[in-house]
Amino acid sequence: MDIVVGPYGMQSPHPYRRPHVDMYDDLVEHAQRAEELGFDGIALTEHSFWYDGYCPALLPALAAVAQHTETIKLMTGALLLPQHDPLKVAEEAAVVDRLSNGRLVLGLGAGYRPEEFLGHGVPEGRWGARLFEAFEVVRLALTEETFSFHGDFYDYDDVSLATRPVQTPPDMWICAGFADWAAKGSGRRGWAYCSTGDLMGGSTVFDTYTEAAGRAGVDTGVLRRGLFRDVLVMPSELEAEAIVDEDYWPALNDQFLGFGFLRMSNADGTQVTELPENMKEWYMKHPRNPVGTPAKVREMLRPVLDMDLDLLLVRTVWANFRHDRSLATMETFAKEVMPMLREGDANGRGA
Amino acid sequence: MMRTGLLYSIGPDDFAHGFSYDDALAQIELADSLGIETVLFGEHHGGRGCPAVGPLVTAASSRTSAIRVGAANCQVGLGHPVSVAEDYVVADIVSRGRVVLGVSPGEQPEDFAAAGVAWADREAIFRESVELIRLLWTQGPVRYVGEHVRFPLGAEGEPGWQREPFEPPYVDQWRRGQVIPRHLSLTPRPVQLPHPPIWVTGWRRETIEWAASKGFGLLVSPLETDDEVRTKVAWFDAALTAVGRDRSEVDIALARDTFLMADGEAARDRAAPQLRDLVTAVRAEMIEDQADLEIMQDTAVDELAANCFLVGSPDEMVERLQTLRADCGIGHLVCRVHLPGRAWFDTTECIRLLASRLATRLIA
Repeated sequence: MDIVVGPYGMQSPHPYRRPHVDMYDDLVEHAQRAEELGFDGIALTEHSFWYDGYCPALLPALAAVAQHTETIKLMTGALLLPQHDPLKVAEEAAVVDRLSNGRLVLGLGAGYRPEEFLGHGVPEGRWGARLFEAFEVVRLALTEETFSFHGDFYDYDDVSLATRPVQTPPDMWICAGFADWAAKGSGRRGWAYCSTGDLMGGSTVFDTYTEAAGRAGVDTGVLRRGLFRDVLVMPSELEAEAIVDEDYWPALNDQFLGFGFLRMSNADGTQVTELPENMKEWYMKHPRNPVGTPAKVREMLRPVLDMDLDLLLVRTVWANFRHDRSLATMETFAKEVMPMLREGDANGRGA
Repeated sequence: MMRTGLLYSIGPDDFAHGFSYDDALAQIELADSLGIETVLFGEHHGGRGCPAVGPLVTAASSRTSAIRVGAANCQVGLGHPVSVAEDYVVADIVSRGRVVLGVSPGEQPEDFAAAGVAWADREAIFRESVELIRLLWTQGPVRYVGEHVRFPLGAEGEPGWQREPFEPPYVDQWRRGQVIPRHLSLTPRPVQLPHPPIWVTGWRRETIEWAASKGFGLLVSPLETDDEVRTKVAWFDAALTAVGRDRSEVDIALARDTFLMADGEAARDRAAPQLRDLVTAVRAEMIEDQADLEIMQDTAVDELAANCFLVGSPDEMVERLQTLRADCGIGHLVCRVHLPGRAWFDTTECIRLLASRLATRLIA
């Protein structure tokens, strides 16, 4: 099981503004520290047209990180593929794979914010279908010398990328929450699937994934399972609570409202502008989001060892965290939690 | 004043000779330390260049401290202009404001066929795309309605662009939730004000005149002879004057295939095989816009070496460049010092000579 830190969004949100030029420098420092601490990878995440300067272009950003690291994998987690031209993504990915000597991991998601699709010239709707088609285009472009593809959204005849990636086949993942279509669609195609786990944090999504593969006659041995977890590990409960109140929750509050995760409307059809009162407590105590002391986080993460994972993506950093504090949470995770994950990992090399 | 820079077109033809992106980046670090002022990367979807230059720009900028970094000929029509604007915003941030975006209307019909873009529409798509990129970099929430490009998708109304009109009540962006946008603002913002320089490269007179009329810079490709450079710059200047713009608001840059050695005769001998390969490749890929160029005729490589390429000793080059600078006020000289098969030492020696013997005399 690869343990990847992130994804980093490179945000400067209104409760804690920072210069982006500094954040991209800090990212390099984080990647170097993550490499030293024994993480297998570092991930970035993208959104476009979000007021806080969320990173809109992952591959150029990863190319810079590649220059200052040696072994750590560089993951897009996720690049919102239907919002881009898949052939362009494949070309850019090939360049980054060469620049990093074969360390690129392409996590590809669909996205869900209408403004991002329309801003990139893509019609709304059928995002999942677009994702699967575009994924196949990228996969073919990076695998085959020459490929053709004819789908509902993309058409290619005898196209060749002259500049080839280092890795063949490329390391590609479908990254998509816990939606049924994503688990089934990835399973049917035998593609690697990274999930948040199901609504209560359990592994039924992976059962759906495996069953879909079996029904489609896909060899279940090729399946790869990835799991995403938000983790906040602090030396004491008291400190964890303080960070949640000051940093963590204000950032999440924005994400929930502004990103429209909840898709909640008032009676007159307008968007809700405040979260329900119990939302914070529900979220912060959710089994999917381990928060607290190392001992508590270890306990909450133990069930993931039974999920037969190939990838664990852990976000130890939120947008509102100061640089030194984000380094500290990453370090605490690496020293206090990672050994337990390595020891219990059936798919790994042990601690 | 003529500032000195480099141009790298690195692709599979270089990989076959054991030359990697990393090798180019190491040479660029050397150039940065010697005071070379710009490095551009050439886009090419075959053997002689990089298909996606954005990552090379950020990689180069993160290894250097002062050199300006950019694309020589980003073919914006092959993808979506918003993605180009976003890639180079991130590059401008990573480089702390050192990015240059060179843009081209398109160079190979088969690349457009692969991308599913009509070759005949390339110029119109290019112009709208470049206009939109500048808008996104300089304006807040905007709408753009063009013949080929609409931003956001479905934007309607008068052709051209419009700022978002303010309609109370004001709602913080983080409280707006999912919306169907009529205007959008690109984030994050570029570091440079008013925006990273945009240099237009192209072979058609209309492209060059359009660039001048809109206040974009001009990058003359390495394919033109010195006389053709003078003609092109004259077209550009005339178009600038016609719209009442001034030279001081735009950059004029010139790309040259360059090979310098202390001994000029030795330089010509040593560069000849790679230059012959270059001319063969360029002629094989000729498009209609380039048909009149001297390099596309049967002109001998020796002759091109005297009036198109910069091959020889720095002393031999100075007068030619100073004349060109006096004739048409070239602000940036961008030298392609590496070609497939050229020895590492030859290129680094050329960079050293460029910095020590040529740049010093051109900057004055």
